[in-house]
Amino acid sequence: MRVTNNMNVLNTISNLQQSIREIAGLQQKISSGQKMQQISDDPSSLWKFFSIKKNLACHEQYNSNIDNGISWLNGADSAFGSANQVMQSALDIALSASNTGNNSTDFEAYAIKVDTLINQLIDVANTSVEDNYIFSNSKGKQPFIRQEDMGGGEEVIINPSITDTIFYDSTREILPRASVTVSFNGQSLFIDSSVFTHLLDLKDALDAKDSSAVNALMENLTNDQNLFIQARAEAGAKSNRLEMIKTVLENQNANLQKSLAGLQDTDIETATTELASRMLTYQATLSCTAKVLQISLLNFIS
Amino acid sequence: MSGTFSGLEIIRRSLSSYQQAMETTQNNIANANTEGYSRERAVLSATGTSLPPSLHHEQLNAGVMIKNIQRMRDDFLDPQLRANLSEIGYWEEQETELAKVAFLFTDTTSAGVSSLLTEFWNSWQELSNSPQEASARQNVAQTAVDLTTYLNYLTSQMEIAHTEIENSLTSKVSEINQLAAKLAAVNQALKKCVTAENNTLMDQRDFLLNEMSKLSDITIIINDNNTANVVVCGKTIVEGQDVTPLSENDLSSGKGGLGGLLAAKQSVEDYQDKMNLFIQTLADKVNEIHEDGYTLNDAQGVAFFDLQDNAAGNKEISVNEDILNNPNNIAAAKGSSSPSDGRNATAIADINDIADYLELGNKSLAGYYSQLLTKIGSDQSQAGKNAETFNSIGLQFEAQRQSLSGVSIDEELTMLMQYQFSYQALSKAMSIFDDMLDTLINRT
Repeated sequence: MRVTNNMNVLNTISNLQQSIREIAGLQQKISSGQKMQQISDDPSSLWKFFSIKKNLACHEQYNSNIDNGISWLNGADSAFGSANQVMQSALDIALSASNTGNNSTDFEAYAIKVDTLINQLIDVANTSVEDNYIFSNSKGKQPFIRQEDMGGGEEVIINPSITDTIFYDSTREILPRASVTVSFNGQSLFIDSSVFTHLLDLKDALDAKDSSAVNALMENLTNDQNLFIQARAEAGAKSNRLEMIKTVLENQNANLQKSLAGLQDTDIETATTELASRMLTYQATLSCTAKVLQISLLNFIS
Repeated sequence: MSGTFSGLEIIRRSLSSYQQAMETTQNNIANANTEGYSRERAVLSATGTSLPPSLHHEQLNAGVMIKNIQRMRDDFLDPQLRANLSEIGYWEEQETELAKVAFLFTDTTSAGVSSLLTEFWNSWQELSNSPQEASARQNVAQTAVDLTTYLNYLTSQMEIAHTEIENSLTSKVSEINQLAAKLAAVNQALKKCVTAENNTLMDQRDFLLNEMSKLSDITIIINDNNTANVVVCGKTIVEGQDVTPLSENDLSSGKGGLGGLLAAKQSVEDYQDKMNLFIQTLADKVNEIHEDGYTLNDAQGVAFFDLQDNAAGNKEISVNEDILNNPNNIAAAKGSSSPSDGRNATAIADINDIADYLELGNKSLAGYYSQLLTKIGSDQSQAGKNAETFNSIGLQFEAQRQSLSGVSIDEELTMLMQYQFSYQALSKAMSIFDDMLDTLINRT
């Protein structure tokens, strides 16, 4: 092939352009630390990239949902713990009272104690987490129950402003389209179980200083206590489950982060090695071009 | 028998031939860097006369003459080279235009629709955890505004890209018409030419044809008088010295810069359609669930997103004014009079996980969007790779063309020296002949 001056020049320019383009690209990748500068850099990996990004962001949200759920469950757990203690104290009083002879002066002290216990249990039923009354369900900003004199003596009733509430489970999404119920049905625990009626009955029996009546109430009180123990066990189990899922998500996140790093982070070692070799080529091209282009017959004829 | 002065005549003719040969060499050196120039070579040939055999049997030598000035060019290489120029034009234009669209999607390096979309769904999750919190409601409204603002920005930028392509098309069409006018002028000159071949005009013609090939995959017909006719997209725009200007309506898909712009225009329109469908589906799905729910004030939910067609027929999305003015109008509850109910918010957040929307070809919203981005990215990267490939093939063709038609200065200098020596030798011969005649005429 016949070689002409222009051929040399054209080839040199094209090669230099190619080299400097590659050097600029590598430099950009190294300085930014990212190899996916534009969506056209690696279109075949975009799908994976987006799916990992989406999963990471969702996991973050699920974590936040789980934390929120755990604080609700912890609120319920301590509420049931306190309720259990209240019931235990009531049972202790009932046991002592039933062993005391009728008309003993001790009954008055017992009655006062039971009254305090009723108030304590009302507080328990009105437990709030983050300004939400957890047993009020869909009307969470309003207290669940209150004590009122309904004409026929003291009674504990659901807050009248939320009586129209349809009870549903308050849930937290913890995995894609998988939810865990973090609420407990306050109505069945505190109202339908008649726990307050039983405590008020106890108080009435104590006021009446009737030890046999007190004795008859003990079975109901034990049943009520068992309800709270069961609910507490359920809250604990759910809380454990959430903690476990949180650990699973954290492990998955670690793996996702690793895959993401593989997709978008520049492998500095490879890139710098490549850069060094490209720069060597570029410098060699420059020096060789400078020498070759100078060669001309003109240098030798006078 | 030769005449007394025939030797002088041989030398005179030869001297003038070498002078012309040297001029050709000088012209080559002068045009070494002229684009489209083809090297010329003086073809030397011995002249002689054979007198009629009846009189003499010897041949009379008459020195050397320039048979012709040969234009060194491979006519078979040109069509290949031009087809390749069309490919380069096609892919380079596409890459340039598609790059302008691809740059808009910054999802891989910073925030983009994908991350804003996830934030939007997460804000609904957050709202479902605490439906009565004003901050959670405000957050949903804010992330929705961020998302719609960015979507509208993308829509408007893609419209700008589309307009730019149309403008480029107009200017490229006028460019090819200008070239056509120049070619017609060259054709006219070629027609008037006395000599059969005019190297300079033919170089100009070929250069113009190359330039036109970059713009479109033109069909070229070379006539007997070396003029060229050009057909673009089935329309003869140059016929001899007549020009029929190309208009934008004549364009059909093809190669070259014009074909590349047309293809890029179609691609961008396709992206716009997909983007519109994405926005439409997003709004429809969110609105559908939102309208089913109840607000904090226990009213039925309104449409969360407002959709409008803008002047260019693309979707413009915005958040309902009522919601922006009062985030309590966000319908987070599924049941009426249940302010702490976040189930509707959960249902909206769950749109993110629905992976089989029929409208989107059984894809999720995020999946559809990332598919769109993959398409835009791979279209641009493919165009770039093809442009690179055809450029390197072009380099090979150019090298081949240069190999034949290009000027090598060293070679020309060598030829120049060769001719110079011949010239000097002839001059020497002239002075010897002069001596000879002097002896013959003056001293005898």
